[in-house]
Amino acid sequence: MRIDSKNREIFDLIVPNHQLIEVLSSNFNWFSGVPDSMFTRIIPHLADYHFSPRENHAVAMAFGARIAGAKPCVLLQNSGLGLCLDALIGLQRLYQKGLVLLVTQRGELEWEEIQHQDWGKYTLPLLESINIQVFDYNQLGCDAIMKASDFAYTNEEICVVLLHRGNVDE
Amino acid sequence: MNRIEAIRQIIDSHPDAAFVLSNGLTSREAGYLFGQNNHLYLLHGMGEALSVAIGLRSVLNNIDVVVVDGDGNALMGLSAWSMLPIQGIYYYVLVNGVYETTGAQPIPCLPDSVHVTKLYIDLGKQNTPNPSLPCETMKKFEAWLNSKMVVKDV
Repeated sequence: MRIDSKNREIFDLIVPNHQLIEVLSSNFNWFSGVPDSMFTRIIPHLADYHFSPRENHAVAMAFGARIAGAKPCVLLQNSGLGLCLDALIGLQRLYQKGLVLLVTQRGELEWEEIQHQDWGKYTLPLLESINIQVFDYNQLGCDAIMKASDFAYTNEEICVVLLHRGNVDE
Repeated sequence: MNRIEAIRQIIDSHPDAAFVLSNGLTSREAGYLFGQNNHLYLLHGMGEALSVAIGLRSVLNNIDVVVVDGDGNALMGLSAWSMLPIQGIYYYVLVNGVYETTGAQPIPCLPDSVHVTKLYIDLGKQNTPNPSLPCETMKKFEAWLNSKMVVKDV
């Protein structure tokens, strides 16, 4: 853990942003999602990023892109999982198409705003309950992204790379 | 005009396109009566037919993608309309003012958009089963896509 400029405890920075962007770009070739503040300095540098007004639409678009041969990655905050579930289960899971979700785990640190706290608590149990594999970026570093890409697109499965506050230079 | 007549009219207007058909009666009736390889029949993912088509089209080079949605589905996916217009996407909504699959519960009117073609259809449904299993639908659809050689080098 480290201390940020506002004297708050946050997780360690894993790699500089340019390196994270490089790893994302070499493992995926199609991006969408709904911005989270942790992605502020990442999204503008992703080639082939597709706007979506909601997380569920991003998931559905990624399903279409996968059918056409892309390797998609959808970026979202953990709260967006609440909107995604039906699309994930009714599209990717039902038709056996892979997807990597890059999810920011908001609300797990004590100082984080109250609106994030429940999602911080329930994100992992939720993913476990619907049998979605998680690759933890804080533990595995960039390997989490490579392993997730390999898992999702070899097996045509949904999986999550979980990023923690501080893992990315905001 | 009933649902099948409307869908037939759309199919005839886009002979070389890929189709995404929304879940419920749209996919059920089209799957049973047409069952074409260029059709992706959705069984679930309500409100997402347009988004699926947008994702498909974002990767495909030179093929039109046609969406056939019901008005209930379209209402659920209304925020996806913000992504229109997209070249090569043709979006049709069959409007009968109800959720007919679940027993004809009334629904509000869809807003108008120049990017959405509404076809008004009569109430009523055919006694049709669910479309084929998802893996069968996907296998046929992907084989059709491959035969068209339209996938971008991604």
